[in-house]
Amino acid sequence: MREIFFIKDRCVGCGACKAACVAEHTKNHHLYDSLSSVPMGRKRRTDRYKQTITEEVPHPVRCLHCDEPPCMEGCISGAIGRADRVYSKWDACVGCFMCVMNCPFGAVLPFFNKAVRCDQCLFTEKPACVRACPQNAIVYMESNEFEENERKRRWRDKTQKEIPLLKAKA
Amino acid sequence: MVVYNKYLIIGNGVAGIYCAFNIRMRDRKGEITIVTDENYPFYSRPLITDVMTGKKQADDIVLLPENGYKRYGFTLMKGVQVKKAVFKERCVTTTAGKQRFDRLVFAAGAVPKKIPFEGEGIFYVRTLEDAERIRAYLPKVKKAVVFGGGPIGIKAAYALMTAGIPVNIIISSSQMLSRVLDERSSHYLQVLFEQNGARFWFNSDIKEIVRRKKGLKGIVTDKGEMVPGDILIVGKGVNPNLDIVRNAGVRIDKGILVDDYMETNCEGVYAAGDVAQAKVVTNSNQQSAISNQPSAGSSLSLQGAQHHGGLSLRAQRGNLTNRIATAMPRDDSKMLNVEHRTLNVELASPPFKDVLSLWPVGAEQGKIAGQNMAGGKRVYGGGVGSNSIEYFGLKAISMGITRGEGCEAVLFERDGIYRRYLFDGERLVGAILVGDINDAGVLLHAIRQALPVRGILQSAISSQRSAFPFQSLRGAERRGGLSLRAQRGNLTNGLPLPLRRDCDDNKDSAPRTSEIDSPLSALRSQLSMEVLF
Repeated sequence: MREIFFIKDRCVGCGACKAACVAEHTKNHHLYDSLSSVPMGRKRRTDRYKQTITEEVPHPVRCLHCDEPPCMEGCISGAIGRADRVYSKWDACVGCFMCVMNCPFGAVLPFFNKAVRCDQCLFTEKPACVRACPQNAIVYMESNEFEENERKRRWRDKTQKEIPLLKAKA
Repeated sequence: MVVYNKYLIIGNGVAGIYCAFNIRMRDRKGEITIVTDENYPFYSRPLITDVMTGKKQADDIVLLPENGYKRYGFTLMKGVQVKKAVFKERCVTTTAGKQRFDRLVFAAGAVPKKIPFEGEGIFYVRTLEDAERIRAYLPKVKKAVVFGGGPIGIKAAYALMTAGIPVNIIISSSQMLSRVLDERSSHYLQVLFEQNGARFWFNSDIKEIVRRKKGLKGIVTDKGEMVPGDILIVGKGVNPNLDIVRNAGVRIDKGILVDDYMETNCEGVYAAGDVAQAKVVTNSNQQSAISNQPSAGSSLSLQGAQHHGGLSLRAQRGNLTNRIATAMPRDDSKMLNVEHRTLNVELASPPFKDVLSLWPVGAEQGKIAGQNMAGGKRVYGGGVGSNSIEYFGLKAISMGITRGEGCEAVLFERDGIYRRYLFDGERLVGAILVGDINDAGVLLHAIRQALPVRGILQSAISSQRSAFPFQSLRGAERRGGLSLRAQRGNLTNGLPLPLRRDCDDNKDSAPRTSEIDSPLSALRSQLSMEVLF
């Protein structure tokens, strides 16, 4: 199963991923519509990204699709299920926010009366944020592949230049 | 002839169903029989208040329809009551005949606490049948009385108010949701309820019920006040359903005592859900223990930490990847204590056991029991009392200890957001979040794993950066604080949160006090957003 990974060094904080996420989760996948539509019923206008305060760049908070999802155990309405990926049904959600309370990663976000999460853009080939990112900071690949790439990248960085010591080690 | 294992599940609630599914995942061919005294398949018990007011039909809240049972090979026996159980003989007598079993899980749930009055117009809210009965009665009702200020009573009151019925609420303590929220946050909710037409009678109990020819006229409290209403709904809380197992040979305290594997003292007999008295991480007992013995506080919390696997085995062995090793405190005295704690687990365990009547706790206990029944060896990590409520668009989550006298509280209150953290030493033991519930799960995880997160939380609050201190933690994740394993969701060792030791220097980090005069103005920003959409 492929997953979304985030490489911080490449990110410049343009916010394209956020806009793409909003547009993808609108009814007709259009950014303008997403701004004008009201998030009720089937029309969805929500992004699954959180803006961090300390760091200026938006950082994707994506669902990790755990093997035994604590959010699923907490769900009282049967809206959350797991089949290869963890999904939640929009219509079945009653907004009790048990999943928000149970997710140890804070990956389920409370929306007005529903709980939303990154669904990895289920019906598309690649998630919208991955497609939108101009810097390739968000990648969508197998975890083994990512780990290997990352190791290579770090090794390259290490050998090519001296990395500064980590600061704030008091 | 091949003989398969026979599993018997008593109770068709969330614990029983999670148990059945987890048995099925490990044992494809065992016979699984589910016995319930109700006439419905598995339904969502918290949602019966919606059925009560007619917002939803009974079929809507059924989570596993009957063909679902067939699909997974469960035999469902509806409307069957257990008469007698002798666990040593591996036999249970029901109204539909004798049932033999190899492994049994007792997940019969709870029964509502009764009041000493009976008759027409008095209802309890526990089962779907109760809800249907109230629904049939509601057309006659012009005004309702709810007795009980716990989550059940308040939820029933909220459902009635959304259906347009004014509600009078009688509460025996001095505030609503006294087990869940603290004084200030419950005042937030009380104002909201009063704006929407509820009236409260605090510190009161039912003394007398006044009837007219048909139905109720009102209720007289023990202070002599008359509370008018046509229906009385009792939501005082629940007691474990222990009548069947009193003489069955299992150890009973508040509920059925279970060990770390959810097994009772009878071999092959497990308990889960509302009947089980299992390990808890933080509870009121522990709270009193801390406040009574302040000197022993640190060792107690350490015992607690060991108890639910605060330090994993890997961490104890010092077999950490260097990245995490730099993040975790390498204090030799603590490492020594680890040995000590391991020895003390048996001694420390009885006060750490309690009955938690909560949906997620039941689900997790059922899961652990099911896996162990089918031959696994999984340890229950311990439950944390936690509640998530949402009334009139105001979201609130409370977890762990909420009213600790021996603990230190840190407040954050701004723009309709109220957060209260309770610390015991370095670790977080309780939290109340009102208005904004982001990252509640991260806090719950910190409580569960006894992570020393005080520095991070306090520095984030005192520097007034944000109400969501854990977002800065995500920054740490990106800096490489979390391993790739954690990124992939392989949560066996929990979330190793990186620590910032330099945060302890902020001695002047006074808790941020309220800038807001009344809770009303605090709510305004929150509510105006709700009205907009």
